[in-house]
Amino acid sequence: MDKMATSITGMHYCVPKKRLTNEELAERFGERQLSSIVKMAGIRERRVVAKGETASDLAYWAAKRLLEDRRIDLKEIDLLIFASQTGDYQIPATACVLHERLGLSEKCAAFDINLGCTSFPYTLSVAHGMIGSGIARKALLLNAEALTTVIHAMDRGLVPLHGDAAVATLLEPTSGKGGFIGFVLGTDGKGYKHLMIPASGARIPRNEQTKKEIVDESGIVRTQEHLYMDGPAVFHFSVYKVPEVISEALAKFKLTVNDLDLVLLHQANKTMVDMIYRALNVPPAKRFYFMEMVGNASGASSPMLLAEAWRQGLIKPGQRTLLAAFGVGLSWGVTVIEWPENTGPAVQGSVEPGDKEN
Amino acid sequence: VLGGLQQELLPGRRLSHILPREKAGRFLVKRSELREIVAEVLEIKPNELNPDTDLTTIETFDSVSVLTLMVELAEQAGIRMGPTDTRDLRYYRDIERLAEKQNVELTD
Repeated sequence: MDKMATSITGMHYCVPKKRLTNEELAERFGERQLSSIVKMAGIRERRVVAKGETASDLAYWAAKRLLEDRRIDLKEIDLLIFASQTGDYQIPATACVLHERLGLSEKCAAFDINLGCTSFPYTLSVAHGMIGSGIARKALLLNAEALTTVIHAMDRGLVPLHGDAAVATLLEPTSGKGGFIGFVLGTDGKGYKHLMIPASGARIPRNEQTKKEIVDESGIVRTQEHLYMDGPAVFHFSVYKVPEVISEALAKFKLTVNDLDLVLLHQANKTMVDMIYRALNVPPAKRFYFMEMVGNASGASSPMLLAEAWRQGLIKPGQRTLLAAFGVGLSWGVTVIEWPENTGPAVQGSVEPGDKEN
Repeated sequence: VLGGLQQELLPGRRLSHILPREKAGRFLVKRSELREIVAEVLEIKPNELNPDTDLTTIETFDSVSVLTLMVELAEQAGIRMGPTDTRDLRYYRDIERLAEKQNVELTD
């Protein structure tokens, strides 16, 4: 156990109201074209942002409801981290926008972390380190993604997989038993091209050329301004590398799967998740899925999975939960959380945006 | 409805009905079974596949079916198909060669 323990004291998530069903996708792409990917993904419906709705809008509602539920004095929040790849602006950090919108204090540090699927373990570890070193006391972590805004509507490889969501997490010091047993974070930068939007920054400035549609040999349509995924490369990384890094993390923490109560994996797609579970010999009772009705929400996926497991009463004080996320980068993050005794009940209530901010 | 466990979503999914048998450190897979796996993914009849079959000319062969092929070959025959293998994949014999390179013995 780390010397200065921190623990999650509350979580809540928000998904957009708009749904995208398999029936709608079958109309768009054709039944036969869609069937194999739908079968592999195990996703029936995605929640997708409406025009003009952003990841930070979802983060706002998740945070507002969490702070209200936990009756947090806004002045106490001294660290706000917004982790996303679909922020409101290139400049400034979206954390600053949310700082104003949530009404946080001038003594609250606010910054963004630009990471995709692995953003949750990274965000947790940064906040854990800052609290542990005395820089912060009460951290609000916002993992939010609206990836559907950067996927071409006719990309039948990516559209069926992804949904949008945001998750708010409170992290605080804990004096009692429980907290994070450890973190293992890693990167294979050789794979940075496997999941990327080529024309999305300074390296390839956007122009008329980058807006031109490209149709690949499978009929998948996108432009250089849309998300590209090398499916075989990402699949190979996920099902062969990820079990290795999880095993290494367990060895580092001196634990085995038998010592865990729940194993939570980034909800990339069901086939991939099941292959990782089988590679690690995780029994069905320790598995949990939450993608069927929301899709793969990238960086919001693994915290939403944890929040939903908590809401469903699957996480109890004293139990150990392993959480592993992997994807864009290519990168990975693994942590084991021993759920503290004094955390309180899960936040229940609406997981959709409200109508009015105040 | 949000929430709920999802284990039952794909009840019809065939999992390892053809388990590779291990003999002296080598996996044994029948050639006919390998053809069945590939044929099922590509939605064709097994007898339409022979070593010289050009997979890229099959209507259902595309980047999504290649991913499915990666899953099914790994799960049912113990054959790992890497990203380079998928890029080089053209003829059915490429799959048989990949199996043989990976300690998977194809039997008649």
